[in-house]
Amino acid sequence: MANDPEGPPFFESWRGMYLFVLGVLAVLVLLFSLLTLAYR
Amino acid sequence: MRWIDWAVLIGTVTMIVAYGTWKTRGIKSVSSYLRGGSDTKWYTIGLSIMATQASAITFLSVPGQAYEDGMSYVQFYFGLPIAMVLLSATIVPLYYRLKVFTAYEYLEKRFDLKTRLLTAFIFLLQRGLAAGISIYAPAIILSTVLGWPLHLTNLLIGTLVIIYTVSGGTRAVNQTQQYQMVVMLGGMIAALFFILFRLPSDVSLGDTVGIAGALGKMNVVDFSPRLDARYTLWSGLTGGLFVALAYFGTDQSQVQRYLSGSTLAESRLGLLFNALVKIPMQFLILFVGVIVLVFYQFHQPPAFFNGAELESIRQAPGGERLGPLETSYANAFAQKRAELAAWLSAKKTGDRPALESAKERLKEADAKSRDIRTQIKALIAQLNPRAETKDADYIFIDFVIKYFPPGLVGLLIAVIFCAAMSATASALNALGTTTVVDFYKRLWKPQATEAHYLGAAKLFTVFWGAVAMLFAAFASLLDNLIQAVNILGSIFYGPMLGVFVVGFFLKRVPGTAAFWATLAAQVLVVMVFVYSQIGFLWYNVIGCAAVVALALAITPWSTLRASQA
Repeated sequence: MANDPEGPPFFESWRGMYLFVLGVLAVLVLLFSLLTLAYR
Repeated sequence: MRWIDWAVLIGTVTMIVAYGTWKTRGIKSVSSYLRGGSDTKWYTIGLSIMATQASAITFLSVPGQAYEDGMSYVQFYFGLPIAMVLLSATIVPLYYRLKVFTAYEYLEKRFDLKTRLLTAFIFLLQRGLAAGISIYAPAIILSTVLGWPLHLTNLLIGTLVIIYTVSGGTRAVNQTQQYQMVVMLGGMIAALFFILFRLPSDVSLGDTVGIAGALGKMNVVDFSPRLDARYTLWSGLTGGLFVALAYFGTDQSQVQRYLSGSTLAESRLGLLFNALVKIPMQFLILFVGVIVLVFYQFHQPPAFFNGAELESIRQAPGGERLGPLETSYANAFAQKRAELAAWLSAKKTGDRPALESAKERLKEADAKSRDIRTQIKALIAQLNPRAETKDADYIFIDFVIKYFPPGLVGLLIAVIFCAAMSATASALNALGTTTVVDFYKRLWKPQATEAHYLGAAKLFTVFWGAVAMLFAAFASLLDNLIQAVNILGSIFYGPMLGVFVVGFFLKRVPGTAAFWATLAAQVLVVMVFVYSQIGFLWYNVIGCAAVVALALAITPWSTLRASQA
């Protein structure tokens, strides 16, 4: 990141962007789990 | 196919190829040719990465897989976003800092020439074979279903790809892939809505998902810790992570996509775009297969989806034995249809005991129907031992041909063509680049002119295109080809990832230790493949761990020898 003069859009740092991506993954897994439980 | 389908298919495919060739004409610099001019935006990188990964088999096989086994395959992609984050934070800045053209150049800078050449050779071997399959696999299915000549279909896909890949290099591949990806996504979304539209009008989306759930197909997440289950949350987060790290971090066909970014930020955003979109896209493609299954609860499905194979069996000696089985299959469908009506009626009245009871009877009727289908497949195998009885790859395309309206059939065939072409283009582009950068320039012609390397890159791309088409032409001589190539990929990816992990994280491991550790780990994975029953997805983990462990074990000995020399 020290070598990257440009930051990500919407986030102050790449760390924030990475956490966002992992957060979306967690939400997707949660939604899919609920779908599995609701329709088994 | 009707004239409008031909118009949509030919129009879509040729417009993309012509636009890609025209837009990237007249490239003079070898850097532009191999790295795409380093001015690519994140959305082009992201779509290009997705198009590289999405082969024709993705669109042919995945809906069929959902039809047979449900949604569980989506879990295989749960490790992918984590891999994208790890790569964006570690290896991508490193590639940028070192200004490499190929992933394997990094290994020479970190270790030595022999380690670079070994990994580049492994890549050429594995990707060269896979390029042939990415042409052959859709060609065999399209030729069977539509009656097209197999060799002509191979030749057509291969030639179209060679034209723009050779002409415009990485930039042409990226430019065409973004439009191909738009066609692929648009085609699958159109397919989803069309199939939903074809369901009975009194069946809501909730009913549709409910029917799929009652038949056990909404099994999206499996929390069980079973090692024998192929797709679970845990195997997705571990095995899927290793596969994605190896594929996106070390396979030149993917590395070349994001190294074409105008800045490190654009490359990272391209990878993170893939991290956000990939799982929903796979979910969509699987869901299309599940909706096809629901459609076939209201309309009788074929007993065997490869219609051409079924007809040839019917004409063969003993083919008359199919008749009684097909009658039983029709009766089983009628019974299942009645149980489904009872389930829907109970759902509408909200009568829970009746609903549970109808669900059990529906499951029993479904199991009976599946059992007869298994018997039909067994009969086909008995009457023609060379017949391929796995017909899942034909489920979706058979449905498209039979039920889609004119125009949409052409669009879906264009989706398959676009997928075949995009995956093959990335492969040829990367094979040509690796041959020139890691072998030709490094070993034979280190001091030639720009024009010379540009000519060599074009020539090697044509060479690999010819190899891929030749392999596609003879691919039918091998049994279980697609699985063989998947296994081949898993055999090589583990050690490949391992050597990069050692290079990045274990600073004291020297080149000789890394080289012998990679070679030994490669032999170990081949032995595991030959002598054990371990599922092939685990080869990635075993290969990577073996390189790390062996490199650490050899390092003291290797360092001692170096100090004595």
